[in-house]
Amino acid sequence: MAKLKILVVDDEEHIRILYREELADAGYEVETARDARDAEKKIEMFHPDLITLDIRMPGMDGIEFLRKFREKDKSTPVILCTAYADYKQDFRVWSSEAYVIKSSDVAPLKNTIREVLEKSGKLNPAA
Amino acid sequence: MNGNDTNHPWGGLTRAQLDLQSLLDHVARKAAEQLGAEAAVLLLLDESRQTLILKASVGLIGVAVNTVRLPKDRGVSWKVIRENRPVALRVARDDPDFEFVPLSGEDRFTSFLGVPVSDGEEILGPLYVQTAGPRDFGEEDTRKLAALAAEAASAIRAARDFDRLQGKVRSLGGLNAIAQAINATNNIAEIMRHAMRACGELIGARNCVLWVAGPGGALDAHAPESAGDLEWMRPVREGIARAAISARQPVYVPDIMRDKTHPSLERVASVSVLCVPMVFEDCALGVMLLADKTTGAHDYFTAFSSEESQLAQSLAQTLAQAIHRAQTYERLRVTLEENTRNVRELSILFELSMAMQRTLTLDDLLRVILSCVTVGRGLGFNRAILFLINESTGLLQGMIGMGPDSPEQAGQIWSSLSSQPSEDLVPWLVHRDPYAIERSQFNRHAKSLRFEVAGAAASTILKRVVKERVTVNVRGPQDLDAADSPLRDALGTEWFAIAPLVARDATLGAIVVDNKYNLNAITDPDIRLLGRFAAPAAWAIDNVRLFERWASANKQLLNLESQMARVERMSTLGELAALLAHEIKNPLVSIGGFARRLASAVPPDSDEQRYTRIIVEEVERLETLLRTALDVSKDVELQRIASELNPIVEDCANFYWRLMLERGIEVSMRLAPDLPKALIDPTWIRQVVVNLILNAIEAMSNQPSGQPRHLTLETAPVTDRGRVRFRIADTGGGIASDDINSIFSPFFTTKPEGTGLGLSLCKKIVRLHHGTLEIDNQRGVGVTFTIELPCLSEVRRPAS
Repeated sequence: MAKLKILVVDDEEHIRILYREELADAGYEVETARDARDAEKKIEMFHPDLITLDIRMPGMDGIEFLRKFREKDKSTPVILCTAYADYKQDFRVWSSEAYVIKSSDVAPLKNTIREVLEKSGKLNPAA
Repeated sequence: MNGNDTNHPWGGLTRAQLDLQSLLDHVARKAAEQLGAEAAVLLLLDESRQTLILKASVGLIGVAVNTVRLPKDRGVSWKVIRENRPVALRVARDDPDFEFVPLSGEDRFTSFLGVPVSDGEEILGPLYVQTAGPRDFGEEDTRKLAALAAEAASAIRAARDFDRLQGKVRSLGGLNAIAQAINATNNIAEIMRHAMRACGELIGARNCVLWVAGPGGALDAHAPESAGDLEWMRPVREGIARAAISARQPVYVPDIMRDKTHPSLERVASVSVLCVPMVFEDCALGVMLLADKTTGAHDYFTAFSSEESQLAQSLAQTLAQAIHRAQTYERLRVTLEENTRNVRELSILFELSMAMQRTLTLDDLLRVILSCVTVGRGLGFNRAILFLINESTGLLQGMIGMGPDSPEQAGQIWSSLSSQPSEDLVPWLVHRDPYAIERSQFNRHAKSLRFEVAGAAASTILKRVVKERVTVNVRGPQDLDAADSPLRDALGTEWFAIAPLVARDATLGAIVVDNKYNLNAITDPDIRLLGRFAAPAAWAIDNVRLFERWASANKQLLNLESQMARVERMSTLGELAALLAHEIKNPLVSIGGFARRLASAVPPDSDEQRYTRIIVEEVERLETLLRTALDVSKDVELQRIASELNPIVEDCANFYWRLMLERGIEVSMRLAPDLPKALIDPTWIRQVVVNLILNAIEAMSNQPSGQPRHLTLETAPVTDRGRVRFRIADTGGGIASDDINSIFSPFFTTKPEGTGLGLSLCKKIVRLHHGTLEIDNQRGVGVTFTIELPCLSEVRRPAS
């Protein structure tokens, strides 16, 4: 069975490296993008099964990117990752599948990814 | 005129004048002697040269000096004058001109020899002799008689010169005395009395009328007072008197029978009229009319001489100056009187304005205004009530009343007048004891008064005051009608005055005053002063109202400003904190994340493993701190609006519906259908509800499976406290008793990934809403949170 593909969108290079290595260790095929425009290109080429999206980015921010992305693609799950909890009450984030506060402990993120993929039927719960 | 001749400097000459008569008698006697005649007569022309007057005679019976008068061209005496030559008649009665001198016994005589008495310039009169029988007079007779005539002429001339001189002296003296009398008074009537006397005594006029020019050129008869403005006098006044005034020159009619230029002169004179204007600085202040010169002891009227005319002009000049002075004096006196009154009123108004300006609250100001109206040194009314128009009801509403409650109290107040200010009114007015005034029965009565000012039932007087903005003085029942009865009854008097309070073209109210206790009539000057006082009082009221509005607006602005500054500061801090969180959080994530990777790569129980764990733990601590700082920095700023609570609860529940479904949590909602609106900030209350729901979900998620997972959400009105209630109950097993006291402390958490801020923030938000948050912890069962929030009506009360 082919690996599930995850696109990590984050403007911080070290975060991208960390997530790439952690998620690769967890058995995913990982691609990264540094901003919204980069993300659009990578989605075209890579066709991810799931996207982790940083909210605060230079240029177009994650929420605005999510709104535009949802106009074209309503099925690919998106997990919003951010450094702080302010956006929890922002109703615009409701179109994301989940909301994760960034932490040096990547376990919650990995758990959330697995739950979302299982829910969307892309991952067998038994796996 | 009043001169004692012996005291006169020229007194020596008076004897010479007395000698004239004896000289003339002597001439007559010598004429009779020298010419051997039975009679000798000397006649002299009077000043008008119209009449011959007998001055001396010998041989005539029953005639007296100055009594016999021969009108012009009557008898042969006039022939001597007319022909200016001696006339000798053997038988006089044969001459066509002959006429007897009546009652003189002249008819005894036959012949006549007359010569003119001439001083070389003009003929003075005839000197003639008569004999009983016929006689032819020769040249020698004529020569003798002419010599005697020349002697008489020189004596007469000398005497007349003296007379004139003396007359002038007398006139000047008289004029001087009159002028002194006139100048001693500023009373025009008295001046006119002196002038009348001068006209009679000094000039010898039979009649005299004096007019003074009034404003607009009307001539007011001033003397004699009885002459007044008699209608029959009008043609004379508007004729010759007006002519003299217009010309600024005397108008003289020596013979009113011949000269008819001016009408109706016969109404005031028989012979002549002299009209002299009283001119001062080319301005005719009046006119003096003299009618008929009286001559001699009998009422014999002649024309005025040039000397008399001169005298009249001098008198007129003196009168003009006196009238001018008197009028100027009168004007000054009136002006001074007005000024004195104005100065007094102004000083009162000034002090009152000062007092009014020193008060900045409406209550204080109204008290000062009425103090001004009632205090003796102010306007001094017994009682006063100040009304203001209530902006919402439109009624004239009693605001304050000042005055004694009873006649007894009035007596007490006036007997202790020492309690009133003696020196400086202003501090007294400003610092007068407000409580004594507030407590008075009259003030309470005044404050209970309400009057309509529009419509059929409204008082006529109040309508006038408010609409037409006039001050009304009510002087008794005749000034009141039926609609005024409530006003009259409220005041308990039919004698009062009302002045409107007008500022910026709006009637603010009115001041009602009366003198109920001392019963003094309210005079026109009182009314004027009240009106003058009401104007600044109204402005002061308007100013104070504006000031109060301004002060309140300013206070609100200041509050708003500090709020805004705080919001701005907090939002800046919040943004800064968020920025820092982002900038620091990401490196921490990297550091911690790689440290964890390292930890899994190095051998367990090695030093490297230990060091790496330290890094991981410290990063975790930093991350927790960062999250805490981020939340605390968000100060809560409420924007409370009337909001429905139910939709907020529903929204929040729906948001977590799926999550709760996944976790097997059953939800029951009991929302009161007609819940009153709460005065809340919906964003923050939503935060509270979300926090509590999440708490409950997490608590129940941690329960061992098989336990009931039930969440109850309910809302209800708390009618007796004007509040609404939100209650959330879970079956999460409750809180350990060790933790129950600290669950609301910041940073306390029992959850591994919690921030510890949720409950403390909830409590803070509810407290800011003046609400309550209570916790009912049932160990082993679950927790119930009860929040009560104020409704709209309850928050109207001042917030503590």
